[in-house]
Amino acid sequence: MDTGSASKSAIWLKHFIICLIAFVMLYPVLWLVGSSFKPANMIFSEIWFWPRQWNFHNYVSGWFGFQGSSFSRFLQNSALVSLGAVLGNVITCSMAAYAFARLNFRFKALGFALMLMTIMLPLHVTLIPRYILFNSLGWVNTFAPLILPKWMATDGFFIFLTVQFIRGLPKELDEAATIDGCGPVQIFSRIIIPLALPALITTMIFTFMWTWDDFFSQLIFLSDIGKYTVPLGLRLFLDSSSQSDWGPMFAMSVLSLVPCFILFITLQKYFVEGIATSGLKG
Amino acid sequence: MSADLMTVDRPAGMKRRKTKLRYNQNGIALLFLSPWLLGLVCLTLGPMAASLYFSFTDYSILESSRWIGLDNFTTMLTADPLFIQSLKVTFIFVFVSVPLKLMFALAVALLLNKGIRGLGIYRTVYYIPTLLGGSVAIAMLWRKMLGGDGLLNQLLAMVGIQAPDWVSNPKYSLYSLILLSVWQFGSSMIIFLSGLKQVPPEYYDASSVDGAGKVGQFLHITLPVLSPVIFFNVIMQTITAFQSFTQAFIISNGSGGPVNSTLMYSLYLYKKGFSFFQMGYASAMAWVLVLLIGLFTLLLFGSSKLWVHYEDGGK
Amino acid sequence: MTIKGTKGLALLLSSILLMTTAACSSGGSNAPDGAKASSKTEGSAPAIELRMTWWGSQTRHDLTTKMIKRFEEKNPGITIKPEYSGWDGYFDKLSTQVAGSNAPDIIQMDYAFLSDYAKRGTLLDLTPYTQDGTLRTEDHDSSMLSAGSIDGKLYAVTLGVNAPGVVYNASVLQELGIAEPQESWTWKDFAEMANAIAKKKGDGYYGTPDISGTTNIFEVFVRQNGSGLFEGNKLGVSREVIDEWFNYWQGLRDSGGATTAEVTAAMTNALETRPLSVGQSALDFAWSNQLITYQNVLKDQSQKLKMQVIPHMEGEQKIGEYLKPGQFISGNAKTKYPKEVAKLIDFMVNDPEGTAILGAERGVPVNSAVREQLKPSLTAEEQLIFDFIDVVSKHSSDIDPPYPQGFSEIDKNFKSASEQISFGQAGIPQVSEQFISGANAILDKAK
Repeated sequence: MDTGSASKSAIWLKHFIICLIAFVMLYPVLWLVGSSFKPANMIFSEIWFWPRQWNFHNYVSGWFGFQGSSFSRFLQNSALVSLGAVLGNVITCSMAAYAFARLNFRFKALGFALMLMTIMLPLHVTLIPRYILFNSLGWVNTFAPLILPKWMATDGFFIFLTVQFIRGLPKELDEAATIDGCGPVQIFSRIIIPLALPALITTMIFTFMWTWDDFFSQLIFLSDIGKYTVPLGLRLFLDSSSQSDWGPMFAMSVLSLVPCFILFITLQKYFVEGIATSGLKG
Repeated sequence: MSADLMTVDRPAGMKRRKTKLRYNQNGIALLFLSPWLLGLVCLTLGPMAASLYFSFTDYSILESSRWIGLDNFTTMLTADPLFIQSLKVTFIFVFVSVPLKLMFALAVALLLNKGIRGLGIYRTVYYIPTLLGGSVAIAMLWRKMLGGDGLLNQLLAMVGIQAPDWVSNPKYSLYSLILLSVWQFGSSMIIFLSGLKQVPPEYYDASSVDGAGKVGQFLHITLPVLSPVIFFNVIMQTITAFQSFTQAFIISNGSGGPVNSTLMYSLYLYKKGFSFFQMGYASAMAWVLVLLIGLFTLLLFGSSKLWVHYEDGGK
Repeated sequence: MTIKGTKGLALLLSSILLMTTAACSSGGSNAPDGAKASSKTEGSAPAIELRMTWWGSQTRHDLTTKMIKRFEEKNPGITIKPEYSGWDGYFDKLSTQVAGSNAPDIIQMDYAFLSDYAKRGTLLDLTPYTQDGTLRTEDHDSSMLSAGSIDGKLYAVTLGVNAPGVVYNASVLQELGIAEPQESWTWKDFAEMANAIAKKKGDGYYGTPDISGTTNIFEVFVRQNGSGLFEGNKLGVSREVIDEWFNYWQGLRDSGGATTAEVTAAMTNALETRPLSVGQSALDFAWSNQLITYQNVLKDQSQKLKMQVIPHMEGEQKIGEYLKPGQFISGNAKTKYPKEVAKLIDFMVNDPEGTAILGAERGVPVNSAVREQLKPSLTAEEQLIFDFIDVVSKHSSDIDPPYPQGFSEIDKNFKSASEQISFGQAGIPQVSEQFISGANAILDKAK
């Protein structure tokens, strides 16, 4: 936008700084990727990330290392859970957020305070009551306890996030639409949703990542190896009471980053191409 | 100042008409809120109430509980030095890591929001550490980088500095944890970036006509428009930092060590509940935490009237 | 990009519909646990399904599922559903399941948690089944049976016998011209050896890691002094013994024989990261069954590891060394099929086929007949372990009763105390004092 006015050397300096910070930040990740190609006893004794020889053994034994099921099973399960969670969160959290941001109703302040309070209570103390609840519903050892709560907008984080976004949109848009005869449902679907797209994309990315990463609730609610997800599969390589397979664990860790990585690359465009409010403002 | 710019920029005939939308929309709101309400009633309120009840009992997870009144709370405040220690650790963590992380995230977001070539790549690169999240590999990784003979110390040794083990020396261990949290600033950065998309370009156009400098533009346009998102990030990062658990758990092997120097509040709570079978005590700790966080959140909400600017003109 | 108005509405309505159905179902089904049992098949051939859980490495998962298959073949009508994981989170999940009355029927148990679970009535009393012959215990070491018993009831059967010892790198000792430790060695010998190794190897190499925070080894030292770590529901160890222990290690750290505070704090439980494995020490303390893993993860694979008993104390009251159950197997008190649970446990520890499949992966088998049967097929490392256990069983005293409730918290505090001393945050007398009063407070509460 203002590159024309800046001198060339300033641009180069900028790039150089960004690259330098990026390399420092990325080094640990490079080390992780490099280590996944090293034999186990090299992982702990080497600090330089580039493997002296490339060894794909970790990937092979990580992928096929489980009798009966390969790592692809865990990836599939994680994908199912994560996608279910993403869909649920995007739909129900944006709905709730719209109500909190734009509609007038009784007990709004109380509802909002309650919503914030659900974020503040640590997970560990509600886990057992939740387990008892889901167990009495017969949902333990299914994906339901991991997906269905997201369809009930239980992630206050995303409601709050989207509320803040919607409140950043000029209200004149709604008013204009009301004059054109639109009700709240149309305003929500035609104006708010497209304009809050960056917030929805953010919700998507975060929900996917956090579900993909989540160890504790998946551990508690899933028992069957066939239903295990990626975080549970990764821990199968580690047993601190005896021997751990660090090599395959690193390899599969790297592999399981790929879906998140691809998702991020695909979706991050929308931060640039997200619909500028200007087009709709007039 | 900023308000002037805004009103100047608003298309004519679009002045605020608050009164028009002031009627109640209970029915339609119920429709939009129904999934959330269901979740609240069916899934959230029950467990919350249960944990509140447990906080007055000696619940051990393994057997039924006995009502002990305020015992848990008095023990916490009078006879548990580790509780005090965990509070101390958590406060340092919150007040150092949150500002650092947010400033870093905002600076990078601003840098990346300009038209730089290869923007997508940079954005992705900066986000990669966050992708790692609470992966089990992090523990090994962090020791390799900051441990006694880790990368950093080997570099320092080249210039003749002998440095301590940043991860396992109790003097520095908490700060290496803070560094880890700052390193994973991607989430805040993304939220800032999507917030920056909300700044309509014509605001800038109008201001450059007015002859405002870059700093002026940042102070009077970017910051006000971004303020709801900054507010969100401050609140959420504070809450998350107060509850921070995974990284401390992974790096200290679940111990909060060395010498309890990384014993975060949530980590101690978890240990009490699950390792030491004192879920009643852990629940009491959880509600004390809710009160603490609630207090900070209230303060932040109170201050928001002074510095957060909503396009919908407040309520 | 814009969602059409009608489409949005449809989406909204359908999601609400979904929610209401979910809510309805949540209201109705509060059937008691027992009612869910497969009542249809109860008539002719009862199909019994048991759930079994354990933690471990991939090898253990493979062997155990193989054992289960064999059991199912031999016992038609019983199926076993395995639920396995690594150590991380295993007990979190188990306690949650117990709270939800949904714990597996057969549970691998750890010595440190036995009291916590058994005293709260969550484990199955196996005594009746040892009496009716379902679970045979005649050939089991008597000390292992009492280790799994609380208040005279058998709650846990030992899957593998372990003993604490000192692992040493025989190749390094030879290279340095230091004689290998003898069965009769003392703490003084140990310190001299550690210092000699450190001196000869030079900077960055230690004799031994500082294990002054490891309760299990400290316990051996306490026993040599004639008391138990715990006496009933009280701390049994005296202030003097604690001071002596910490002073001993302080001396070793000062002389360079033991790792510095920072290096110690950087050690994790993962054997791959121990100084012995990465080539920074020639000695370490370990459980006998860990010897194989140590050998596997040793940086220099040409070197050989061996094991010796924990050093003696000069003029000791009794031998501190003891045999300890590596892992237990227990039943769930609420299981619907206690007899079948006992049957499976019997298959795991007594049956020639079952034990042959499991081998010595969980430690030396508790059944002496099985031990004899396994001997011809052992690998060289397994042979070392079996020999070591033989030595210990001749020169040891019986294990103390299972730890009281609250042990895990005391265990953590002990480690913290040792770190406080090594980092110089407080003096030994003060730390010992604090540790004792803290431990007694925890024990009082747990009663």
